[in-house]
Amino acid sequence: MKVTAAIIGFLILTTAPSASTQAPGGSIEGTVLRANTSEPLAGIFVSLEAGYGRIRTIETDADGHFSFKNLASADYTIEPWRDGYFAVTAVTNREIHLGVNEHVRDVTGRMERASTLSGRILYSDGEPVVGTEVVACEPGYAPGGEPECTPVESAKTDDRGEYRIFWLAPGDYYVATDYVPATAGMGPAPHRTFYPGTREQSSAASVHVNARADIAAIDFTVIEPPSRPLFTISGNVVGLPAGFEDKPVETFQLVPPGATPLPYNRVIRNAAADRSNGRFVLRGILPGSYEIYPVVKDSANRRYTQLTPVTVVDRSVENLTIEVRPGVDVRGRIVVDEENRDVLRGNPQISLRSKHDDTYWWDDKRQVDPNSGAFVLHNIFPGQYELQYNTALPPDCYLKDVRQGGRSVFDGFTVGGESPEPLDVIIGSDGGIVDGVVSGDNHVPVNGATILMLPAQSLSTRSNQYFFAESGKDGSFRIFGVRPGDYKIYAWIHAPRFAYRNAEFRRRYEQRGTPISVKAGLATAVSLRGILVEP
Amino acid sequence: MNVLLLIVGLLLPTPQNTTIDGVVTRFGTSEPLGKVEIWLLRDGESPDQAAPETVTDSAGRFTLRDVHPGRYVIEARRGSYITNSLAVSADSPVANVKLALARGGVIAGRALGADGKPFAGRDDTGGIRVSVARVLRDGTLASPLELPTDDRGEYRIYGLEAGWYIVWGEFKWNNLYYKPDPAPRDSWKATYFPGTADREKATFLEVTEDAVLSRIDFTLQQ
Repeated sequence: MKVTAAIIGFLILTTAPSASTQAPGGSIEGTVLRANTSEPLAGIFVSLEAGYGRIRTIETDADGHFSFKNLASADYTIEPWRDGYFAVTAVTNREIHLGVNEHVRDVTGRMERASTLSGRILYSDGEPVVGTEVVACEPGYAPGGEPECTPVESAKTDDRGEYRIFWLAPGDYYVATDYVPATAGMGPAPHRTFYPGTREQSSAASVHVNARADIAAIDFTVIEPPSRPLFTISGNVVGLPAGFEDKPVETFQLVPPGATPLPYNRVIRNAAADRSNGRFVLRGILPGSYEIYPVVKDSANRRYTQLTPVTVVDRSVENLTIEVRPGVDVRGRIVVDEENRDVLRGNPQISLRSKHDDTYWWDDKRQVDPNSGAFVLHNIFPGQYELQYNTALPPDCYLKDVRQGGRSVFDGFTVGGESPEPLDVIIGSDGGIVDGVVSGDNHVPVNGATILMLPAQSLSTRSNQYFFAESGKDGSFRIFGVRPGDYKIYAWIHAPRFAYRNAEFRRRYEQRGTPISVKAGLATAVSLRGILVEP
Repeated sequence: MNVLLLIVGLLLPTPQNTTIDGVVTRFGTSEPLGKVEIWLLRDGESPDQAAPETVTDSAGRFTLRDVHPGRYVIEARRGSYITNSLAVSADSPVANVKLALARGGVIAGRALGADGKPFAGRDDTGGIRVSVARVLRDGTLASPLELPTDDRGEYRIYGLEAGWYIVWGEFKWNNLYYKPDPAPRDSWKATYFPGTADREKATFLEVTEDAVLSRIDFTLQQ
């Protein structure tokens, strides 16, 4: 740092000797006011930023005034902020190109105090619910596409069942709390109650929060989950790796059958008092059909497991034997044109998506031989998989096919108890390009539209074959490295985050997709009318 | 599949699973306590990995079925009550385990900055945080409970065991990235109720079962 300063000093000396003894002379000043008033706001933090970094943060004085002095000529951004306040309108002169010795004095921020929302949560017998988290949330989608009420702020109830959520920006919120299921049981989704006392978001009442409001008495009674019998699953794990026979198996995965989304998988602890000889007891199991698998690693970090189906009807399951085996190696090679051999040297990552439970398997280590393209994926358990190519490819390249024994297994292949026949992962270099532009009403280009391109016959985003983009300032977007074929393309305006990952959301707009045929090695132009998403 | 399981079952020793039942009452009374979480922990197991097994009904009763024989600790918890536990040896049915829970005391009030204003805390930035610690017999302090103040400067700490406590507040920046320069709050001192930076001058507060000590208000000194 000192060295840099000295060099700069030297440059100044040689170019402009008179400036050498003076600090930079620019300044930026301004005021933060309460929105829609001329009332100054004291104690607001104001940050001066340049490039990607925050240079300095100061506080507004009693007159709402702030001042940064001794500034060199540069591009600056002014950011007023304070927990408990929100910006009502954009800061005037937020981005400043400050000339040498220039003084900018007219930066104005307009902010308002955030609001509070408070109330009390009770059980049906009138006793307070203590220590439960209460959320103010907005309807949205989770990263996996499941609809959720996305938490904005939250607070825990105290010993009186009272909560107070503060720092809430104006808006319409649902208020909810999850009944903490007081069992080790593997329940489905948490047992949530929405204000004013309903299980369903669709029948919940939203609370309108104005600026600077203190909304009290948002009281409600939790709906307690019905009491259900719980059972245990117990037995022994056999076939443990050498040297691990005496080590307890600590945890088990319990998966509802079918491709149930991941959040519903549960890790259940082994509650056996005596855990020797692979003995296990899993407690708190609701009736239902599951697949259960312990995960054991040997000293070479090889995973041993066995997916075991279990159905719990009206009694505990005892003496279940789970014989674990090590996963198998899946081998193959990446086949790529001579001119794209650099692909192999870029440490490409391949993973396998389990069609069974939508989990991904990969090795953290370098998998692919940079010369031959040969790869090995270790520890793969029996099941149905789809190969995913996870590393960015050159613009023209794409995953063209996955072949096994002379036939295409692009859509999936089976791994059994032995290593399967090797895979050929074929990288094509004649990928198509889609050049598009999104416009709204009156043909105005739309910035930030959500663009999704799916194979024409599919509405699924769980595959190698969908493409996601966002339109830029001029409404344009480009998708490259497209596997030739027929697609449908959608452009949504104001789509909530992750909405496109929700199957129901996609189905709602199924008829409004634009068909597009992407040809090998060619660019296809498309002009899309944005689909306005209704809240 | 069932046939296979049965055969395997015959080959392995079959420990007889058992049952533990009991009742939870309010400490010092015969009043049953419902909604108490019952945890079944292996001897020496930390509750961090475990989950509650069941909750007591309105008569304070609970039953744990299909318990694999062995030594366990039964832990009873209910928000704002003081957790209690009991070791049991469950080689045969264990009937009528009795646990009593005392309602914890409460210390509540308001802690303001030296400027007389609240500064609500948040984990990523910082703010005024309040701690309470029990004074042990030898004059040392048990590990404190700490929590942030809200937007009014208020705090409320519940579930406290009976005993003598001291209360203090301090202003902390949790991430210096957010800290203004100059930082007038750097001169604010850790301040003990009723308003002294000297721990020797802190007032001892006596908390008894179910007591609520409110208006434990103070202002940080500088």
